[in-house]
Amino acid sequence: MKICDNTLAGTFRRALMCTALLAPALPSMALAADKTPLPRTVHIRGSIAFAGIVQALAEQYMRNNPGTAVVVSGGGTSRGYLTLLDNTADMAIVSGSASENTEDEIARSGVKLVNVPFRQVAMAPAVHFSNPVNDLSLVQLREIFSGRISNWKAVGGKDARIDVYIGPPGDGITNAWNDKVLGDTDTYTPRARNADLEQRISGVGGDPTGITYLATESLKNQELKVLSVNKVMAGADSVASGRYALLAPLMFVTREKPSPEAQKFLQFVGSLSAPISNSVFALPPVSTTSAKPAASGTR
Amino acid sequence: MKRRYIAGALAAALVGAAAYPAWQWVQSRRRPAGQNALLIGGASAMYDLNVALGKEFEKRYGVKVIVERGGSLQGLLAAKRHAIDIAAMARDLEGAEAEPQAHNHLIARDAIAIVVNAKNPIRHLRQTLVRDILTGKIDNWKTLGGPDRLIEVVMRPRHTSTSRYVSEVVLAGADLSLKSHFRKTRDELLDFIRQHPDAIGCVATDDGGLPSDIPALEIDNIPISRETILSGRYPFERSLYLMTYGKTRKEVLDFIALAESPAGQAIVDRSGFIPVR
Repeated sequence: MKICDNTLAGTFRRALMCTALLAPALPSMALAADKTPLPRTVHIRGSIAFAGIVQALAEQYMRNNPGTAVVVSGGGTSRGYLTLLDNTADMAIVSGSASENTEDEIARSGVKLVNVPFRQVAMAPAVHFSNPVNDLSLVQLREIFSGRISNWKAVGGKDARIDVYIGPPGDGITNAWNDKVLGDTDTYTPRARNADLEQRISGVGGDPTGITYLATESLKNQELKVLSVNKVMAGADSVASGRYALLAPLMFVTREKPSPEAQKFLQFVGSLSAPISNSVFALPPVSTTSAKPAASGTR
Repeated sequence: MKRRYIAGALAAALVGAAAYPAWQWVQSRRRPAGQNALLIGGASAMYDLNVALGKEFEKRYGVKVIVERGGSLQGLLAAKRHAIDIAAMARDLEGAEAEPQAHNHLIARDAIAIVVNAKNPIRHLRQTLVRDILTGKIDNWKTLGGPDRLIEVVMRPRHTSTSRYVSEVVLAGADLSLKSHFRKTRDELLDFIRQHPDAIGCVATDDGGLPSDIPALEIDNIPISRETILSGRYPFERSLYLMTYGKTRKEVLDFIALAESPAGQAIVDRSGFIPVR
């Protein structure tokens, strides 16, 4: 039996109902097992595109609840799923589907997983700042990432070969981009360079003919030029109004019976208003050193 | 075409040369027949912690625990061949290492604080600038908006785990400035920072907490704190794992359960790392 469906439309209310339904079973189990107090810990692993937001949420949760530890690790969407199967994390964070191998592994294990949709993030193509191209249509993106168009001239750029940079198979955004841009029938060009997010950003940042895709919020310091798609630029407004179509789902995933602390953390996440807005996550920095930051010292 | 073959052969030879010591290490650690002891091998940084956990395990379960140094990769290879029971890894699994059979149990975190003299006006630095300072590429505080004075880098000796950690995590393999000063102990390093207004140094969290007169810099605008280390947002942070491969015997699961239990996490804390449970 599946407890939650995969759709994102229901967002939080349904997600919280799912966890609420599971809640009554848990305290009695915990009492029966052991008398020592349960560690108030949530271990979270997975999507790198999602990690930035979850890190901010984790810090806020730890400040609100002294004595808790919310530990966030990366490794990608597929790793997130795998850690649920072998119980080395309480929760996975995912930004798209898992790799086929991982999907098989989940099916084989028989472990039931519960999706808790968080929100959607915009994915966008990104190029070197010197590239004169500002916009690509969905069709052009499909031709470029499948390798059928291999020269920038064909899409209004310079006469130069296109270097396609893609992520590893376990990367959620890579799989989400595959689903939305290439669809079921096409695959990434075999000439594409395979690199993790950081290498992709620095790779295209140093390659005037490179192109990659990313969750736009992964770009912290505007290292690359983000292109509009079908003349619509990815942004909070275009995402909220539905005009921008290249979205990837960010989800928390737990086992069928999440730990009490994991449930509390999900409740905290669900209690935040306006999950689509980035401002929620711009939390004030906390000073831990004795000295006050000097205004002139920031670099 | 021919050149590509030669380059390929050269690369293969290089990989072979690098892998050979690891292979030798694995071979030398085949489990003696009939021995019941628990074998843990891997990261030097986790040696003392695993010895302490091993003592507690021996006391509770009567099973001897043998701990060996050798490096995270060597530990991983040995565990994959079931030559040892548990690999101690001071880094996450990378790329193809993250197989479904590799079970990675996070037991601690630690971090490197970048510290300066209290009179130094600088309190924030970007990661890349920290690297440039430690390698000597930037050698004057003026470049960073400070006074026109030469930067004095102070480090723990090269063989210490702090120093190795700095070279892996902070320097990402680049070479430390030849002009660096070295101080044997953490206290001597902190004294150097106190006495030299232009000094900058690295202190690991496993060296204990920082005194209040030594400011730690924010890196990429992120302060070093328990919260930012556990959330993984502080850049010079690393995870310490006990990794098992495939099916394991009960004693191994007991050892990992102990490391994750409140008693084990108290040992993590006493060993100077940050508990994660």
